[in-house]
Amino acid sequence: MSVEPVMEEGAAPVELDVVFEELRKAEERVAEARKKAEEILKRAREEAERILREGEEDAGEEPGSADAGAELAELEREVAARLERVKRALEERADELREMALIALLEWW
Amino acid sequence: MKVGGERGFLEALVGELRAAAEEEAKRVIAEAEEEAKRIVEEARAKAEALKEERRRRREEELRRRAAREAALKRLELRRRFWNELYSLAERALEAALEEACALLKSNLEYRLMYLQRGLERGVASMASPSLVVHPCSEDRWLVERLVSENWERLRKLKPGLRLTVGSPLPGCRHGFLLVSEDGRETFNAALEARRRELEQRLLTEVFKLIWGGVSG
Repeated sequence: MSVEPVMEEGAAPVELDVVFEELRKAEERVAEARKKAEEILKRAREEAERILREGEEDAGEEPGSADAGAELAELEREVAARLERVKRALEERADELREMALIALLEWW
Repeated sequence: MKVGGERGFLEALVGELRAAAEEEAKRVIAEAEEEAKRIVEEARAKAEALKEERRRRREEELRRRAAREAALKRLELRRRFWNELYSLAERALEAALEEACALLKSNLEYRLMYLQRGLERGVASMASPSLVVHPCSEDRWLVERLVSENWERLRKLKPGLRLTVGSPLPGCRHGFLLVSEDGRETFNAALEARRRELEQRLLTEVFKLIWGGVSG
């Protein structure tokens, strides 16, 4: 089999055709790779959009109210305890109060 | 160029072309994968930052809301505390006055003291020298006795005093009502009236007692 180029008028030699064919294939291969790369980037952008969307939709937890509730419950207990102390103090001093009331009546305060 | 050499060159060229194309394709894909990774990671970081920012804002809002609600509830608790405190003091004073009045009614010495001091206070506080004392139903005889027994003493309090004992008052049992003859001045010494007056005036004293009792 001869490898001598078959020279025809206006045509490249046969071996050069092989080279050009290979060049075309190489360009195709690279173009295919670029297309694939575009596809990869497109998917990545879609994934990024999805991630951002999900991030925005995420409502998250609702913290922050338990502490105030605990503080108020404590305050409520404190108020009840103070009123109880007042009630006891008044009961313990009922005699004093009666005496004061009697003096106020008799002495015309 | 020899045929064998040309063929070899062309084959080498073809091989080079294939290799270069393969290398370029791999580079393009690798770069795209790297870029894709960066895009996704950037999106994840951004989403995380957004989430964190929103969580922070929500927390802040909730804290503010909780603080507002807590402030209102604290105010309500304080209001309730003072209302109940006032109510406790009022009830204690009412009970004390009730007992004191019962004691006074049941003790003649106390009744006399109440009427005598009241009469002196009334005479001294009224401008008119001509007064009429209307005793309450159960104290009529005591008032008459006090007026006659203390006449000199009362006149010293108000020179030119003319004091007469009028008809008893049907609406009260203990105490008296002192009225100027012209009807312009009155001094109400009915026990019930005094009691109602003291229910207001003595509240301050009760609060003093409360603070003394609960402090510390």
